[in-house]
Amino acid sequence: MRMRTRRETLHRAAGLGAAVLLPSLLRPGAARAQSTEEEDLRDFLEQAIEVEQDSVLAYGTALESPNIDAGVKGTLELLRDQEQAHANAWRSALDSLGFEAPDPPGDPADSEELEGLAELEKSDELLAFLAEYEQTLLARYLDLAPPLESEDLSRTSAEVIASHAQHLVVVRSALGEDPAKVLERVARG
Amino acid sequence: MPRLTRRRLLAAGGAGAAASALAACGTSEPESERSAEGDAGLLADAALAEKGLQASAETASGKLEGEEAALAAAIAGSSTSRAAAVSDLLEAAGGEEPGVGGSGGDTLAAVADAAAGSITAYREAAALLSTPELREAILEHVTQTAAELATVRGLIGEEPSPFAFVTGGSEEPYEDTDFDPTEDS
Repeated sequence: MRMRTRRETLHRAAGLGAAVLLPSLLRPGAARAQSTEEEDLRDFLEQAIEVEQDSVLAYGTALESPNIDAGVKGTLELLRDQEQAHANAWRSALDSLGFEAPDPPGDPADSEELEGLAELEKSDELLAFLAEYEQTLLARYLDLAPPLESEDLSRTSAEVIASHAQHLVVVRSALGEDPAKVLERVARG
Repeated sequence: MPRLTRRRLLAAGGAGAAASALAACGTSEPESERSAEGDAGLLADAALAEKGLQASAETASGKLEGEEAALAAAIAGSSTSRAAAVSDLLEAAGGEEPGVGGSGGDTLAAVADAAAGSITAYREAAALLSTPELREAILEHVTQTAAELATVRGLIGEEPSPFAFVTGGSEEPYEDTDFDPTEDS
């Protein structure tokens, strides 16, 4: 799919300008409140996009390794695609607000979160990194999502958080960890 | 803000749910469904679903053997803790404790169904509960329950994480992985 450019978004918004302007003048307090809400949403979405894009790169880097176990490649591809679906959803939401999304990192070295990933070689090391990253990602979402004012974004966040919890189970299981122990780990956070 | 059905979010296509939801936010009256009065109902739904999971996992743990029994017992224990926590929140919200849910069967497949039901209830509560504190508590329950669902699915030979957006329902969420973020934007 093709994202609208910022220019197109602004152009589209300009057509609504008069209709938007009048209520803003009549209700300055409400207009400020709406602006603050949009900025809060933007802050959430930018952070969510960054962690999801990092995650896509992390899975992609693991998949490119010649040492990754062939038996888990299909699983990792599925999880990577789901991370991309999360990123896409957040990017589209941010675009709807008229803000530009952060660029995806092209290399693990471009992201602090992925520090050290490029140096890992063994399959278990790569999987352990992905598991730790999923745990970190869950913690970030659990910190960012509760204050959201948007009910719909809160609902979507719950769906994405649930997805990452499942990813954590899948990756830990690929490492051969006992299922009950994995659940304990998830519960501890 | 109007309530958006999943169908409506899906019908919009593209990268779906979140974008459609926001577009709707911008074109509709800012009418929130969140209210302290609504909390008790949401928490009662969550408590009922969690008790269903608890009962199902307890029944399964007594009938199954080996690794399956151990997993069911672990889920029963976690579910008991969550049910108690949700009941406390429900009481604080002035709601009435729901009755005990049915066991729904004695297999891990039944446990998976019950876990999906809990996710459905928690997902709605995570969207509509009136305070960040309540939503935070519920999101932690969503995390645990989704992990349990994936673990059970894996043990019974199903795909543990089949969807990018976990609703707990039977409706398959939108999934688009064709988007190329490096394309002209």
